[in-house]
Amino acid sequence: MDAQLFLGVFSNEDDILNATRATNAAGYKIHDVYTPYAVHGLENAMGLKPSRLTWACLAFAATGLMLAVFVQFWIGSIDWPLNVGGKPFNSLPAYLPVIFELTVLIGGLGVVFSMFVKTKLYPGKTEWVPYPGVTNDRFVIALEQRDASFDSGAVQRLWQQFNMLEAKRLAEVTL
Amino acid sequence: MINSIPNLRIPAKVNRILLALGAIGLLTLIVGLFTAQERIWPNFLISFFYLTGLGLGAGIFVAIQYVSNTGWSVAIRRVPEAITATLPFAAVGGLALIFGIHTLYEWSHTTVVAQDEILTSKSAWLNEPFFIARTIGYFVLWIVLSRVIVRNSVKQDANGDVKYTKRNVRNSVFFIILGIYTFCLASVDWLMSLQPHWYSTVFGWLNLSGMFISTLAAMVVVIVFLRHLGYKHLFTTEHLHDLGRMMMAFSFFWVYMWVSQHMLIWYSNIPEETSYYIFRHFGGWGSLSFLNVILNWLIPFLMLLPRATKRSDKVILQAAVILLIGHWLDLYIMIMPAIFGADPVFGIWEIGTFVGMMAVFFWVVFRALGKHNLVPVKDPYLVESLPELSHS
Repeated sequence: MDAQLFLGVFSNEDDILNATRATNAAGYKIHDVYTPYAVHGLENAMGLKPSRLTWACLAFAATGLMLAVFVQFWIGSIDWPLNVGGKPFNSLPAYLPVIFELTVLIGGLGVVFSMFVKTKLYPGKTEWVPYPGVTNDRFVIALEQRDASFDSGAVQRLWQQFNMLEAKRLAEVTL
Repeated sequence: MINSIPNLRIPAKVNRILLALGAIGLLTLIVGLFTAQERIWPNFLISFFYLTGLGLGAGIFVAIQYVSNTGWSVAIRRVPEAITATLPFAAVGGLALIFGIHTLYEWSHTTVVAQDEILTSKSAWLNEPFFIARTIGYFVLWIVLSRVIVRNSVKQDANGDVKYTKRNVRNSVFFIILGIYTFCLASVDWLMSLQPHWYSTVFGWLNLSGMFISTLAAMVVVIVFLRHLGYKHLFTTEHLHDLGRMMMAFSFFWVYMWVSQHMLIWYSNIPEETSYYIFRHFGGWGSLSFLNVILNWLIPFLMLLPRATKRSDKVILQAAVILLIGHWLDLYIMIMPAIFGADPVFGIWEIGTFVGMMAVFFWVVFRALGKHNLVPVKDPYLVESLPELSHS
């Protein structure tokens, strides 16, 4: 997808939070906010919906749980029953450690790989930085600029209230 | 920055109800001592151990916050600090326990010990004078260390000197190491020695996790009540959310410990170890053991799993109350079968002592909360805990 991005550059955490809140309240479509570190409260300021990754995590964890129960039951009671200390072939207490570990393992790995897939992260991907200082000491809001009604002057005036350092247009970015 | 916070005012009606319930608890205890000694001492032990755990757990919670340089919890720190004020009351219970030693502990009868080879070999640790000395020693240590930490924290309110934070970080290191080690020993002394032949090496950790989860649940109850009184700007939804996460994590930690003890004893199947679970796995005790895991883990875990429930006063309060009742049941199952082997007993003595203890607990905590600022106003990390208030 090709789009034009309109960037506003700020120098600290409070400014970016307030500017993001105001931009969102004014109804502009925020593409993303780039910060050198995780800023608390930014997801609320951007108006992001709650992540759906939790559901992916739950689904993977449930898969792991059922897999662990089934594998142990099938091996221990059907395919290769072994008498261990005179215990019944199908005993839940003996299954618990593996159930716990597989639930956590598959839930954990599953949610991480879901995120990689969703965010299109893969080994060898060329990194893209919207603005040089954004990995160091600059905070950047990126707006999507899709139609002719986008008024960059109004946006700049809005951002200037929050000590904007610079506004910049990025043409034809492949997202 | 926040400079002054109006003093906490607990409605007089709440205090009256708490005092009345506390009086009922005391009355149950006194009447029980004369009419049902065998029944009242185990119940006293449950309540005494419960109260001790709440006070010590709160102290260790504060210490953990200092050692880890935690920011989020600073605004709510006065709540666990106030809960440590229950430790002197628990110490009074510890002194009272001395009079119940002969009713509760088999190893305190010298004639029994003389005929029992195992108890004779354990008598270097399990004897009356040393038991009393240890009980006093634990409380002196816990009260002194928690007092020192709370006093430094309160002193900082006057001038905001960073040296108090630094001192408390050092004190907290001692408190965490000594507090956790001595609590494990105390749970062995007070609870495990009820069945002196039996032993379990994770017993201390199991009790430690139970102690911590009950402390967190009590903190949630107090904080939800304070929010109800109108302190939502100090005790925010974010704090509630974080406490809810910890509560869920420690509920899981408790069941992890429970399974660790249960599974290893079940697997090895050695008579001297299984003697503990033989009682607790059949008949009425078996159903209660099952209910114990449901109340302390399954229900709170499912309740607190979604994000929204941890941010809802109502749901998190329900989960906390379930955990508090669950912790009582946990102690009940540890203590009671050792004295009443056959069947579970439940009646006025159980309800009276537990309700009375809880009422005294909340009364002491609210009184302690009213003595100082409700929030450590000059703590250097307060800005991280209350960013909105601190910037304006």
